[in-house]
Amino acid sequence: MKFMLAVLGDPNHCPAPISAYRFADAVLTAGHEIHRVFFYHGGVLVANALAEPPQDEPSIAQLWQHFGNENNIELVACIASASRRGIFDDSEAQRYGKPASSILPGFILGGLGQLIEGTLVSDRTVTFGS
Amino acid sequence: MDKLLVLISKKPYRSIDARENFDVILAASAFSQCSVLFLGEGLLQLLPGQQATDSKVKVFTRGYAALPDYGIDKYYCESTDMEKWSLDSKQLIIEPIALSPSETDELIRSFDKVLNL
Amino acid sequence: MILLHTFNSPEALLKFNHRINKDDNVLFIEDGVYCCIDNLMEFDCRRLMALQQDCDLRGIQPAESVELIGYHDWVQMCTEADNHLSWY
Repeated sequence: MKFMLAVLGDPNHCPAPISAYRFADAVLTAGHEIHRVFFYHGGVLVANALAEPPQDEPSIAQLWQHFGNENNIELVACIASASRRGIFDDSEAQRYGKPASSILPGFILGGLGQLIEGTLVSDRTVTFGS
Repeated sequence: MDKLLVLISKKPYRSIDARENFDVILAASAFSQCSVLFLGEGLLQLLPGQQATDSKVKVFTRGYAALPDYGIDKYYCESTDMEKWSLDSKQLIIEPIALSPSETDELIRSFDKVLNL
Repeated sequence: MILLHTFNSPEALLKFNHRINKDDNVLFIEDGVYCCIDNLMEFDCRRLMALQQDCDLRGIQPAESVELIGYHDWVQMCTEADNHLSWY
């Protein structure tokens, strides 16, 4: 079965990104496929390269980064949601005159079309919100 | 064309999420035959007369009046929500078809693709 | 159509419990596991479940009618249901 996942919650505001991560891991362990993981609303803050949790707390950002990299899964942060919340790649940072890019490597910016397309081509879309 | 049902269930101004979910509807209309169900507090997005007197907040809900221009001509609400808030559908920003609870259930279950964001 | 509903808070259950049909499956996750304390639920469904990890984290001992499951079971339930709805 092909899954599409949408992570909607800010990692400091709700457990959605952690629940989604555990679910995603279970999906692959069960032998299913993940078409894409789309980060929307506050979920884009998972991709914040400038956030630094305390040493004794796990980094949900790095967990997702590692997951996407190890399993070759696209981690897409909605470009419009990301701009609102200060998540920029090099190109967007330059476009808006921001001092630096802030998106964690392993995540890419994308449009809502990727959320819709993923939903239409997947067998199940599971959303994780707050 | 694929069918997709978008559930709108949040109050309009508590967070930016409601505004962003409106964008989802517009995006969905480009890829699919999109229908919209205003559920629970989501129906409050259609209250008439919303205005930001100091223009510091964007009244994005006015955009719902343009849904037909995006090819979206199927939008619904639940009659119990209309009654709960004593709403007259003719006065809302757009006039959704009011469904009974069982009809609402049937609608949701008739779609393979449902997005609740 | 059989649906799998997830509720991530008591507020979500309060707002949307009328969406549950007696043939559907219900899973409580995150703060939704607080709904599993006895006598707080009044709806019919086929299977009533809670994520064990979320119960453990919050110190919740669920009512006997609630099945504790893991993420693997959640994925399995997704494949068995006709669709999955998340309520917040």
